[in-house]
Formats: sequence, C-alpha cells, structure tokens
Amino acid sequence: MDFTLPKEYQMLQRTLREFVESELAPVARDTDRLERQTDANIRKLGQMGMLGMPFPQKYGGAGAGELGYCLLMEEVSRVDSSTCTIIGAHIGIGAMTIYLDGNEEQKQKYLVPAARGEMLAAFALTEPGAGSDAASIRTTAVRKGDEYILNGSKIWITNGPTAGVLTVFAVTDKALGARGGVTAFLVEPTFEGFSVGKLYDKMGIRGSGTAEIIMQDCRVPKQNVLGKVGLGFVTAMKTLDGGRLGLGAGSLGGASAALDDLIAYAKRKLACGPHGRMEALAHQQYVQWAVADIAADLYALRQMVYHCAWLCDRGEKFSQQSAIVKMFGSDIAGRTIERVQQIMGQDGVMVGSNIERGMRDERISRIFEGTNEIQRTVIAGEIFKQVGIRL
Amino acid sequence: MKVFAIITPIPVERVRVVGGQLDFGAAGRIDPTSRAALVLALGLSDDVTALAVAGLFSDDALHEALAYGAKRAIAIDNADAGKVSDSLFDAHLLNKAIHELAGDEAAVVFCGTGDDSLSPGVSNPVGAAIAGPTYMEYIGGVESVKTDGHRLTINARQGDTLLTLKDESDENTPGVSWVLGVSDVAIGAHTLPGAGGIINAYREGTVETMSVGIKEIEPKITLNQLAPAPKREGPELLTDPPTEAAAALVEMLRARAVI
Ligand SMILES: Cc1cc2nc3c(=O)[nH]c(=O)nc-3n(C[C@H](O)[C@H](O)[C@H](O)COP(=O)(O)OP(=O)(O)OC[C@H]3O[C@@H](n4cnc5c(N)ncnc54)[C@H](O)[C@@H]3O)c2cc1C
Repeated sequence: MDFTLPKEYQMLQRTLREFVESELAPVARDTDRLERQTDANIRKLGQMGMLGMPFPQKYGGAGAGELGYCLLMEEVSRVDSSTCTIIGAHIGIGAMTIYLDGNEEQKQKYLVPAARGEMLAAFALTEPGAGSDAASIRTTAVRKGDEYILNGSKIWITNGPTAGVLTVFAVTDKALGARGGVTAFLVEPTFEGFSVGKLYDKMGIRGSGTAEIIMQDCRVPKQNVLGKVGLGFVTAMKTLDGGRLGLGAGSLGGASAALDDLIAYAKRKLACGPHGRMEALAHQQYVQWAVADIAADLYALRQMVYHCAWLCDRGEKFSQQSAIVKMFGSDIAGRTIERVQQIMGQDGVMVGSNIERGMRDERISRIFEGTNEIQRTVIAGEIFKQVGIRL
Repeated sequence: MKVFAIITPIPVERVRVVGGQLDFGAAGRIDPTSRAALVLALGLSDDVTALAVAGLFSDDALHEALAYGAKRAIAIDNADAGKVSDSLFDAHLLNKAIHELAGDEAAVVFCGTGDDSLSPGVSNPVGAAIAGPTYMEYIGGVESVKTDGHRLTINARQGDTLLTLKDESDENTPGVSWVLGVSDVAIGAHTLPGAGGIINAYREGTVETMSVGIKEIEPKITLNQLAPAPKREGPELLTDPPTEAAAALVEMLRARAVI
C-alpha cells in the first residue's frame, strides 16, 4: 500500500498552490465583495487547463482524473470558495454529465470548449418543490418533430447566468417519473424560449452566480438529448457522486486554510498566560487542543478524499464513499471555521477577513448537492442494501 | 541554433536538520532563476533542451522542465569520476554535454544564476563557468532575447544600464554560441506549466541520461592536506571526510544554538 501522491500530482498540487496564491488570493475578497469572478481569471483558469482537469486530453482536458479534480478543488477553496463553486458546477456536475453520457458529437461540440475553459457549464435539476426530493421535478419536455419543447423553471442554478451550456433535467414521461421518465437535455442559453430569471443574493460564495432559469416553450434540438431518453435521473445521480466528492475536497481546502490561519494567529496574538505573563496564544491549552482536534479531523478527511478519488479513477463504485466525504467534509469545515472564529475573537468577525468570508462561504456546503441529511440517507441506504433492506 | 536551458534543482521543502543530518525532503523542483531562464528559452524557441547535472532532485526538476514545454530533458552524468562535484565541475560536464549535443550548430544556453535569498546555499550557479572552458560568450543579467532565426539580440541589465547586444555574424559564418545568465526571478514568476503539461511530463515524457567523461578535473587533493590542524583553541578544522565533517558541524552549531 503506497499512500504517496504520484509525482505528477505532487507537481500539480504545487503548481495549483502557486497559481491560486498568486492569481486568486489577491482578488478573493473582491470576488466576494463585487459578487463576480473576473473573466480574466476564468480565462487564466482555462489556459492552465484547470477547467478540464479530470477529462481526457482528447476532449480538451488535462487528463488528471478525479484525483486531479480533487486537488484543484482543495487548493482553490483554500483561498476562494466562490471560484471553487464555479469550478465545481462547471466540471463536477455540468461538463461531467456530458463526459459520462454524451455521444461523440456532443463531446466535441460542448465538452471540448468547456474543458478548455472557452465556456462554462451548469447543471440544472432543482426546482421549486424539488430540492432534496429531486425525483419530483415538474419541468416537461415534449417531442415535436425534430425538437423537444421544454417548459418549467429551475432554481438555484450555479453558473446559470454565465453558462454556455446547461444540462437540464425534464420529465418526458410523467407516469414513469424518475424511474425512466426523466431525460437530460443540453441547452444553450441562445435557444429560443430560454431565459435567466432572478439572481439570488446569498450569504456566502457571493462571487459565484446563482440564478433561476426559465424555459418557456424552449426549443431544444433532438440531437441535444443527453444519454438515453428516460435515463436522465441516472445521469443526474451518477454525476452527483463525483460532484459530492469534489465538494468534500473543497471543504478540505477551506478547513485547512482555517487551521493555517489559526496557527498563524496563535503564534502572533499575545494573551495573558497562567503566570500573569503576556505570551503567544499558542501557549493556551484550549488553543492547543483546538489545533490538535482540527489536525486530526483534517488528517481523516484528507485520506477519505484521496481514497474516494482513487476509487473513482479505478472505475469502482463510490456513491456511498462520496456521500460520506461530502457529509463529513462539510461538517468538519463548519465546525473548524466556527472554532477558529471563536478563538480569533473580534478579528474573526471583521468583514473581509478570511475567516469571516470562510464562515459565510462554507455554510452552503452542508446544503447544496444534497443536504447532509440526504447524504446520511444515501449512506444508510447503501449500507442496509447490503443486508437486504431497502429504505 | 540549438537552444538549451540549464536546470538547477532545489528541494521543495525547507531543508531541515534531522538527527544531525541535512534532510532535503522527498521532492525537488526548478530553482526560480532556472525557471526564469527556461521561460526565456521557451520564448525564443519551441525546441528547447533542458539539461541538469544528474543528482538529488534532477529527475523532478527535469520533469518540471518538460511540463513547461521543453522538448527534451537530459540528466548529465559524469561517466568517470566519483560522486564529488562542485559548481566548476558541473560546469565542465554541462559544457561538454552542450558541445556534443549542439554539434556544429551555435548553442544558446540559458542559465539561472541562482538566487541565494530564495534558496540559501542550495542553488548552484554555474553560468559563467559553463562558457569558461571553451568557445562560448557569457553575459549575465539577461532580461530578454530575440532572434531573426539566425542572429540574436540580447537585452541584459548590468547595474543600472540596459545593454543591447547584437550578434552581427552573417548567414555564411557560424553564429556565436552564448551562455546567457538570468537572475531576475520575476521573469518566470507568472508563468506556470499547464495541468495537462504536468500530467504528460510524467506519463509520456522521459528524462534521458547522458554520460559525459571528464576524468582530468577530478579533485586530487583533500581538505586536510591544505593546512595542518591548528593547535590553539578557537577555530577548529574538521578533518573528517566531507559527510561526517558536515554532520559534526551541524552538531556543533546546534550545541551553540546557532541553528
Ligand atoms: C448556493 C446554492 C447553489 C446551488 N446550485 C445548484 C445547481 O447548480 N444545480 C441544482 O440543480 N441545484 C442547485 N442548488 C440546489 C440545492 O441542490 C438544493 O438547495 C438542495 O438539494 C436542498 O434542497 P432544498 O433547498 O429545496 O431543501 P429541502 O429539500 O426543502 O429541504 C429542507 C430541509 O429538509 C430536510 N429534508 C428534506 N427531505 C428530507 C428527507 N427525506 N429526510 C431528511 N431530511 C430531509 C433537508 O435536509 C433540509 O434540512 C443550489 C443551492 C444553493 C443554496
């Protein structure tokens, strides 16, 4: 058993860190404050091959697989969760649907430019009344000649305002519902009947655009059916497996950055010690224990993330593991940031500080791509399935 | 014209003293001035050969050069001598290798001059010494280089002055071979290898090895022959073989809380 990252991934990790620190960190605060990542940075991410990280090079990707994607999410979220969210929606759930189930023509038309960063991708499943219960979506798609006519709206769609292609899930057979009646479509924002609705004003990841998208008699060519008619829900679920792993990697990065901040703070900040002397906060036992607890959590999470990526890259089933990574990772990131913020006192609540932004950003990771309650349901479901009980 | 970039490897981690031994960590990378040199080389030609003297981390650093876009990466091995090596020795090896690889063509060799503030005592500048033994011209402080396909125009900063050098040789005469020293780390600072380049550097790229023989400059004298050991208190001459002497020095410095 060899747990060392292969050399190419070590170099990738180093390069990512250098890129992120030199290009994203200096503008991370503005990305949050101005509520958008700059086109220039998206372009740079594309030029570096990051927006196609896991995909094969023949489709414009870097060929770095899920492990490369996890390293990317980890490093980016160390400094900027907004950009991490843009990347997650673009690669992890948007373009990934095309890679997993697209035909060759669709891959050339949509995956290649998406992987090169020439356009962003998005994943549109959630609807009013169909969040956790994604199987009850109501958007319809009706075949009319060589086209499908889509009607309905999707809410909370990351990259909704900026994507060049969106994977939209719609009901093609109401009677069958999620079991054979949902189909995935590749929708371009220029298609007739497509529009972007309201933009959401979120507490965190404010630099990533989230919007409602509306399809009113939206005309989608039949060639844009992604995968097989009726199997869209399968596409959505298997895509979310990888997406959740990426979110776990993002939580790892966010929590690691919080620990780094805590260590630096504990070294710098003076407080009155037990003998009445001013000494670095690091000498306080409650700070030491916090550092130790967080380090232990991160050690466990890092192993989980890389192991789950390894399972995925070997082509093994990893639904249960990715749900664990997403749930455990986002829970850990939440409690880490909360604890660090408490130790940092007033410095931790200053608007614009990394920890204040981190606190707002990370909150959402326990909600999207399936709330942590839903992850627990998925995990328990997988476990009980093995003993013959279907939940 | 054959374009080369000399790659000096440095450790990724900060060098630490562990149990009285220097621990360089598990991985290496290109030193920042070598990276600047490589970036200038790649700006001049898309057929750059990266060269490093074989040793600790040369494989890592040469793979990194491939990731940046070097066409070939070659670790130069000393076919004859033992493991002892220093800057001058490395320069001789590289000079010989360049000579062999360039053949009749003029060579343009980009070489980082090392930045002691970034990698104290570790980077190993060899620039001028490479040019030294034979037919090449050396200039340091190089900031940019252009070519019309045959002749070079070199901009180099010497103190406060920006010099422009033009190779005036005509089409019928062989161009001058240059060693160009690069010390401005800002040149490579915003250039990073792409993700795909990194993956390919390991999965498809190979670091070649080339053996070059130079017996004659093998060090012939050992340190303790230079001077008799002083009898008096105070400065102490370490007469052990180099590895033990270094370990003893580390112990002494630690005992005196210098490190
Ligand atoms: C910032 C952001 C970005 C998003 N981006 C996208 C996107 O790009 N594409 C997309 O399709 N969607 C996106 N979403 C939607 C997201 O996936 C949903 O918000 C999420 O699935 C939860 O759905 P909901 O908000 O409707 O909560 P609900 O489903 O209404 O749940 C409310 C509460 O009830 C709990 N609950 C619900 N059902 C169960 C159950 N069966 N058992 C136990 N507890 C349960 C939930 O855990 C939660 O606590 C995004 C959301 C946010 C906030």
